[in-house]
Amino acid sequence: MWYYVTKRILATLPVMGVVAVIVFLLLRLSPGDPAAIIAGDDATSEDIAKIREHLGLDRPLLTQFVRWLGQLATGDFGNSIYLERPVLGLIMERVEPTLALSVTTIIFAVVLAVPIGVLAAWRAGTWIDQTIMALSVLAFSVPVFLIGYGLVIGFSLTLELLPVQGFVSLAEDPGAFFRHLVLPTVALGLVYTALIARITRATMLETLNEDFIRTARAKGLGEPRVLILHALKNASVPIVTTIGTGLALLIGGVVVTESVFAVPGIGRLTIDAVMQRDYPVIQGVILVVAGVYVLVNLLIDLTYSLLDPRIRY
Amino acid sequence: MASTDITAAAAIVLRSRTATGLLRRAARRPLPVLGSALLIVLILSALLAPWLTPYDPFEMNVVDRLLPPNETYWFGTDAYGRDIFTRTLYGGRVSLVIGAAVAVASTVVGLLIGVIAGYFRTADAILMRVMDGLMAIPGILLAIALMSLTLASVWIVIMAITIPEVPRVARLVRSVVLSCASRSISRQRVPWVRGFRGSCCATYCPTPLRR
Repeated sequence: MWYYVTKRILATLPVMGVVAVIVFLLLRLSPGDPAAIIAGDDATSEDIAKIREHLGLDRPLLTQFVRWLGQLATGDFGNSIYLERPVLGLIMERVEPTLALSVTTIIFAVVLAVPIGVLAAWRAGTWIDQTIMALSVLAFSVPVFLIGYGLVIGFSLTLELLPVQGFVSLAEDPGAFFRHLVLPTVALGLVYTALIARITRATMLETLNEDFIRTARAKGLGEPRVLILHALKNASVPIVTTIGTGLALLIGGVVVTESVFAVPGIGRLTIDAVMQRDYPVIQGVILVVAGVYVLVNLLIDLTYSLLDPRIRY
Repeated sequence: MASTDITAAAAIVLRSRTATGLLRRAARRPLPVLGSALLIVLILSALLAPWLTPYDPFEMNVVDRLLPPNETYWFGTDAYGRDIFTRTLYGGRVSLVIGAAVAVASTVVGLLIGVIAGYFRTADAILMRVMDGLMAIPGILLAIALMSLTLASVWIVIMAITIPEVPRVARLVRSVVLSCASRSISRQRVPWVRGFRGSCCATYCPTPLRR
């Protein structure tokens, strides 16, 4: 197994390498010139050319790429074109809000969704099941920003219980940190709750039909034991996959939620950079996110063999 | 005696085919019925848009800009004075096509990649790393770059949404295959092709598709 883990961790490098090439090419293919955006509307073409030269954008693509790789090799992600600050620093600033929101969201969703999904599968076809599934369709279909603004109007503006938006660091004020996270977590968590509840129900339904469940019931085990130890454990691999993929996507950035609640996360950093064609920032963020994805997915794969010992690496 | 049985059975079959029988079955499962009804309304309103509204989706009336909903403009008007209700109906055409195409494309491609990765270890190592990389590229960046390569078209939009969606489907399918491939159901089917086809259709498809 350690051989497998080492191999997978080493695989991060080629993945990031390929992603680096693709992102680099995608950016250069995209219309829009960062030099022109910096120079503004009144700039002459000489001004723009001067800025391009300063940024090194006038050189051949291959030269630019090799230069960037050389920087990366020394751990330097380059500087943002607009903010003129190191990209790595910009990303590090966004790590805490992003991680905090991702973790609270996924915990909220799992705690709510797994019991709901199990209940729906257990009582499949009854009004309980139908109500749960109807609510999950609703939660999945309503846009996040609508739920978000609804929560803000209800809990922040009318009841004045929670802050409207923003983010406070955990080190600065733990109380305020959690108060600021409640609304974005709920708004975002409902979508993931719906998704995880649905997949839990679907895989549980399949598992509950299998012979070993009948055996477990026949030998007199109580329903809770049958449901959780026998059925849920055997149904868990796809559920864990959905949870893990959800977590990965959350870390990659949730633009709408971050915008509604003014959370300075990775998602907005990416979108702002894409809109301004801030090449070094886009390249840096995507590289880091790709690395995180490889590692998160490795963790998911390792959980498989914990939950289902028949899966081995 | 036997003939009365048959008549009774025929009556039951007939009754279930009549309108009341259908209604009774629908009442037992209201959700799928409600869902299909909504979808049919959406499709019809998109198809019949020119007959449902007197306005043109691109026609601008600067005098009537940014109006709240009223009798003339049911959903109000936008910053250029275009009727939002009309634009919603016509927009539904594009959205429905894109939604359906993305759902079909990402399921087909994701299913294929997931099944292959779940079965073959070597393919797994390569395919899933490619999926990790694809997942990291934001859809909007992909869309902008693809738009600049060719002209902006519905196909490019479908591709730009499908590509980031495929890794999620593939991972899910692969996980189902992994947990099933180790069970006896797949081991019994000795011939490879049969095992692949049979278990792929019978066992693996239902769960991921119910996503």
